[in-house]
Amino acid sequence: MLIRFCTLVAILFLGCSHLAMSQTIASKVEYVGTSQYLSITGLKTREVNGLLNLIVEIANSDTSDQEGYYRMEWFDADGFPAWGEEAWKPILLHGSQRQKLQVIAPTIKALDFKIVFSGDRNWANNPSPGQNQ
Amino acid sequence: MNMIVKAGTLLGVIGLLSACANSTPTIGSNVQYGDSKAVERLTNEFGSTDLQTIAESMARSLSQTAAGYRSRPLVTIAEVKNKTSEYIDTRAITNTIRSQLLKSGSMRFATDIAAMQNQTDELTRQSTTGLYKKSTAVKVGKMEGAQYRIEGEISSIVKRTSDVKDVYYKFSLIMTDVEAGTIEWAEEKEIRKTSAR
Repeated sequence: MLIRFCTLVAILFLGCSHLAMSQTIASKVEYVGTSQYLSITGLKTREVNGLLNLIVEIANSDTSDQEGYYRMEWFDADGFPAWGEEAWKPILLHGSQRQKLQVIAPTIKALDFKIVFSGDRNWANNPSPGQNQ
Repeated sequence: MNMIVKAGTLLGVIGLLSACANSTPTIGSNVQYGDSKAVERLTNEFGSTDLQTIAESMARSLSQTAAGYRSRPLVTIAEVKNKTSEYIDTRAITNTIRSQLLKSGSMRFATDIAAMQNQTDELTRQSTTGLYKKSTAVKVGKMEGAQYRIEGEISSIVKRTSDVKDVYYKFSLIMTDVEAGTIEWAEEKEIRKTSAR
């Protein structure tokens, strides 16, 4: 009986934390278009020497290589931009690969962030930031 | 008469509105402005995305290291050697790194070798020509020496087959303690670009 109860509590806890994690990721990611194969599946943050550090996990659901593009938006304590416009950066994921990106905030004023992400292959002809493809 | 004035006013208003709707503050339409931050994939030579990515990666890593120091370190940027087979404006890369580090507030920069002639010219002009008020003229002997020196190099490996060209770039940067001669920080950024020929 006790084992059953503990298992149920563990499942509920895992379910809740997974849901909370999904909500956290959703609130921190802005997809440009609807990426067909690439998605952000994990996010961890910590502070090093006063600078926000992120580990962003990107997953490729396709069995072929897929390219994506990302850039960060940084905000200060009042929600105002803490940094200028970043350049889009390309990222290549091999088939079925999960890749972790390490991102460092540009300034100690950057206390919040948003990841802007676009897959090279988007549904419904959404444009991607790759020029002259 | 009143009717004519009313009709004239109405036509004038319509004319003004239509003029506003069609006008934009441009001259000509042959040139299109693009997104300077977009990923450039025109050729696999060194491009704007490579410059931006390298500079950002180096500045962030250096900034995090400098943020751990007790006071903001005073540094100078020396030359970045181009060891690739193509022309790359390495000064543009170091200028972007320096701008980002200054903007982040993590480091201070002393005049580098490239700007030293202009610096000493201005210093000499103010302090020795007698043209300036003594109270406002700068004094010689107060320049601060950098504690650290940043320098690096960019190299590449190019491979070609009949249908593919592959370019691998490696950008390395180090920060040396000038007095001690020890390397205090080092970072590398690798980029691979492959294109069909």
